[in-house]
Amino acid sequence: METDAMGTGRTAELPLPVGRSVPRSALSDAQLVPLLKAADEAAYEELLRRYETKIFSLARGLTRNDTDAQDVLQEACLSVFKHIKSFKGQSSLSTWIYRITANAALMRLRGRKKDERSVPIDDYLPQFDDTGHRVAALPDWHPAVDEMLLNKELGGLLRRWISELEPDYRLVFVMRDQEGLSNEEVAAALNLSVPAVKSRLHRARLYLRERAKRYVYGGGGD
Amino acid sequence: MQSCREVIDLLTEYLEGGLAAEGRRAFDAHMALCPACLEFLESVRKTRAAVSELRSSDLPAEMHRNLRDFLKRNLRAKAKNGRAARRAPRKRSRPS
Repeated sequence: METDAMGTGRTAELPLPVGRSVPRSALSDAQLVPLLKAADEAAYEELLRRYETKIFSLARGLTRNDTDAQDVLQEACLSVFKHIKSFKGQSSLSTWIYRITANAALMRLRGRKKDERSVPIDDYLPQFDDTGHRVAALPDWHPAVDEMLLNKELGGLLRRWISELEPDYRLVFVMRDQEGLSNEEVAAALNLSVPAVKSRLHRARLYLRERAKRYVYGGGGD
Repeated sequence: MQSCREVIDLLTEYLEGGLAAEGRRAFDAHMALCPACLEFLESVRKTRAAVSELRSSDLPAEMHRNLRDFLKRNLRAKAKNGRAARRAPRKRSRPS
């Protein structure tokens, strides 16, 4: 058994010794690691090919800013280069890289001025009466929201609403629902339990759904 | 029967396939009788599908080039330092 390029977090077999003639693209992440430790240029090329877009996309999702995302990508690559020797393989390579990326993005977010205010997520979660029935000030959903979602008209707004999530929720939500990592990968990358990931994900999903609904009923004012 | 609140609390667990058979049956039974919750579930599914479309795949070409230049510079510097370290004469320890 070995770790695949997507890093499922499965236990890796000991990497096979490989010579210069073996195409790096044919190797698993686990097999690339010793070559990266040996500063093999082709192995680094392959690592970039596999991860640069994923890191950039994740960084952009987290920072909501192309310049910051490029800086995060560069920092993440530098960190991999500097610290690969201390990578023990306790997590998959991909998890390790996502953790580095999330940390670099968080540092950027913390360094920002407080002009980008997060919204209180609780304001957008469903309310219930004593009998457990939902109470809503607005009708529940509108076909216009479906249409806008299907026609991708809400892309820019969805990005903005996600950017207004508190960082703890945004990290989980972007990694899981936007970038498609598994709950286990997100948990490992962020040092959270899987139930904690699911709990944040759940609240973030309900928040986003509510923002889309209120946008339609609010005539674009939300 | 579960209340709407209980069902909505379990919604992500349901979507993630994390409910055991009995829990799933109870969830589905509620959905069959509660159009409002069914609509809620569908609306979360649709929002989620729209979010997955936001994934970006376009790394700026300049960044792509810069990363490779950065990589080559660092690897060459590392190789140079390694060679220099190997060439450097070792200090002899003085006989006591």
